[in-house]
Amino acid sequence: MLVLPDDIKIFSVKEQCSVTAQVVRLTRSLAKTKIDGTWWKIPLSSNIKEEEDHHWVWRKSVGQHRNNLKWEAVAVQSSGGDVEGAILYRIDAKSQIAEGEGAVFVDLLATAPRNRPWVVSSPDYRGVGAVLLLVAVRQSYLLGLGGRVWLNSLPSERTRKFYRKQGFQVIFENDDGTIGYELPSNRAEQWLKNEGYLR
Amino acid sequence: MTWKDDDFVPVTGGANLADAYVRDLDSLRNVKVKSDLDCHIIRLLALHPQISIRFRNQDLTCLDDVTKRALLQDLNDSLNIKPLRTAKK
Repeated sequence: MLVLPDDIKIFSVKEQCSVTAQVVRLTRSLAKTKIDGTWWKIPLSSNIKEEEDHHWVWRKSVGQHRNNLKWEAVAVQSSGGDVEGAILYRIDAKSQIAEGEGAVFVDLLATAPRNRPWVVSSPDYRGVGAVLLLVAVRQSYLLGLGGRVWLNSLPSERTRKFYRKQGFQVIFENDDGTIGYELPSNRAEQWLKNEGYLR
Repeated sequence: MTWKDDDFVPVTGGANLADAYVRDLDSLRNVKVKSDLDCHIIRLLALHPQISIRFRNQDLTCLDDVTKRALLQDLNDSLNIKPLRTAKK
């Protein structure tokens, strides 16, 4: 069972060392105050309209599924209480690699704009997105879905590199140009072993 | 976790998942749960109907936490789910 809050490590760019943060459940209240109300109120080096998620309203997405156990929203909260990234996933997807098997589908995943190196000149933290993705893998494993996770992502070289490195496979290319990736069970278990979650 | 340049996960998502890609788990809609433990057991039973037949008479409202944890252990054993440890620091 995924027990939250859960202490994890993220890398502080300012302190140049890993620091403790917490994985917590993302409530509507937390989304309203620490994401929707704050994420875009920072000096940005690029046009925020170029960011795919600048129009997302997290409190609405979280609220919409709050009474539905198929969905789960989780955030990484730094020691000061700020939300450094968030993920919304559903547990009822069909695997596109393993026929007849289930998977977790990532509906929304984003790090705070202040943690994106292509948005700000010096991000606050690194590794937040990977921690969140790993939460989805952990949950998938604990729910007997083999750690399988799939998601749709922009077709950039940066995303391609990241997902390929973690063992995700391209499952299809969507009409809108986005690419579907799925993490197969064997690579999920390898990732969990590498991070010390699984023997 | 390693902290290399390609460690940043970009923004992902924002598109609806078509019905053809979703399993029928409507039993999980509008379910009120008392604890994370109850939530996890209910999800496991819904996701794995083959084991829910074996455990179908389990009414969580009648069980104490110790019994629920024993039930979860049985479910995990049935599904070959190993416990996850705390991550390495």
